[in-house]
Amino acid sequence: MTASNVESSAVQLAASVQRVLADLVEAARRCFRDDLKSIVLFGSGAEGRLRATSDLNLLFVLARFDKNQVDAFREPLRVAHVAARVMAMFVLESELPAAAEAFAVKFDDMGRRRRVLFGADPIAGLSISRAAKKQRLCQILMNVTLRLRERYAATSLREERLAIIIAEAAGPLRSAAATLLELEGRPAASPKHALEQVAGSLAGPSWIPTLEQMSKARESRRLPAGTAAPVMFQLLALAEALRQRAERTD
Amino acid sequence: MNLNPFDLRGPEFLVFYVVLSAATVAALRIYRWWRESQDLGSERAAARDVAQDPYQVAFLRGGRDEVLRIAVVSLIERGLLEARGDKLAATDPEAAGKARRALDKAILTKFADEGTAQSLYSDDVVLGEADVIGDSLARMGLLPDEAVKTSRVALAVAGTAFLWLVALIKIAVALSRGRTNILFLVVLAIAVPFVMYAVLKRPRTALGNAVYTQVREVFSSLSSRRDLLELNQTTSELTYLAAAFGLAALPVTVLAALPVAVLKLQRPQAGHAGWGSCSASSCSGGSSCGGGGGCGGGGCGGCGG
Repeated sequence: MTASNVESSAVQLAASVQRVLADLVEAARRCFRDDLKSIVLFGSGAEGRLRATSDLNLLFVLARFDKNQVDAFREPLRVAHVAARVMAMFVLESELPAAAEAFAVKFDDMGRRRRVLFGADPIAGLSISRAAKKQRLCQILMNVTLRLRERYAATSLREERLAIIIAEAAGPLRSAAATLLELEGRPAASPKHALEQVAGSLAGPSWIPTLEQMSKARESRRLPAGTAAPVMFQLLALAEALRQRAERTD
Repeated sequence: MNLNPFDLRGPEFLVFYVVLSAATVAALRIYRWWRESQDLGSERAAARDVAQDPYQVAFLRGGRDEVLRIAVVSLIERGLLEARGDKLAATDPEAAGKARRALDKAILTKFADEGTAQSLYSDDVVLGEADVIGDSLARMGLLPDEAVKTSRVALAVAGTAFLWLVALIKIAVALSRGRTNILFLVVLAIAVPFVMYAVLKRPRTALGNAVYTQVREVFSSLSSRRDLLELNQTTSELTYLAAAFGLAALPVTVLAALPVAVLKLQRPQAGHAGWGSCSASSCSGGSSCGGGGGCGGGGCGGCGG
């Protein structure tokens, strides 16, 4: 698996975020010692495209998950989560191939957008089967569809909540679109571009306002009155269309 | 040209005395800062340690009373404590067993039986646990310890003695020359120790100020997304937000949901903070006091000369 952004250490995060990351890496080294194999920043943070509402996703590759070590790591991790919305994924070195197959879209995204903060690059040597990618892609899109339906039915009486749900659907939809294009042999420059490309090919430029509203929701967690429900239903249709297209790939 | 200030006429000497007082206070303040800045450079590591404990952050920002407020908010947010009118009560008889921090345990133990929120400030165990946090900050050199407080008092006494000596000499010179219009100078001299107290009493050391600034920077992103935070989440974001920036920084929706008893929670009566102690009342710190007092405007009665 190659990574176009592994070398992009020049991509600058805000100084306060860089500092939080540096402190967390140092704490992880101190707490896990030799059991810490790698730390990888992935997703939008690896591209330096963080918004105030973005999570900072980190993969910790460990030799073992030891209670005492993790207990010592809890406070630095809490500070990092509070200060910069750091979300940690702990994977054992031995579990990496299985984790990559099980969470093929996520690891596929890591393959595209990552920065190694410590240790060797654990993603470079991973290969994810095409079947696993396709299966996981369909699973994620089905999950997004079911979740959007449930959330709409359960929470849309309070319209302001819909913007948050739309914002949270953006990440999975974009990653899914990127993986879909990769399966089709036409990788996009970024997950955001991938979704624009796929949406455009499905229904032309009529998708543009919807995706703009989704970006807006992602940025501010707010949408103009009366727009959230239509956007949500368009995203539902998009998720269904993406899944049907994913199922058709060989 | 006579450069002896004691030969100055009354109003001119008052101006001289005010300027001298301001210069003395400024010099003492700079000296205090220099003496308490010996550890500057280690603030990054200290900030990293302090940031791991929201209660240390709260104490550094606002002293003991503030850490008690933040602890109560944190326990309410965790669902371990609840407000019933102006009273607080643990939600579960075993709540204290679920808390990790000694201060949390002390508060939950106190409110195992319902009690008024204000009674928090008269519970020796709770206050003792809060002071433990302040002591740890003092040991780190972030809050003034006894040695620093003693040094501050010595500086204030020295500065006051110097300015009183100058005033006494001028008064003696004036009286020897048959002048008795010394009232304004006496008033100024009486004001000197109060100005010294206001300027030299600081809740944090220079290192403490630097660490507090860094801690706020660490949580600046949290502050910028505060409107997205809600009560009863599993994270500690609200506790940290309140600890670093004060209860007023909490989102309106959260403030509205907090019991009035908690928002109004404060020490029943203000205590004497001493020379830089954060252990009583608040320690907002950081602001400067111009120093030097002032001579409320022209037309002074003069002072000898």
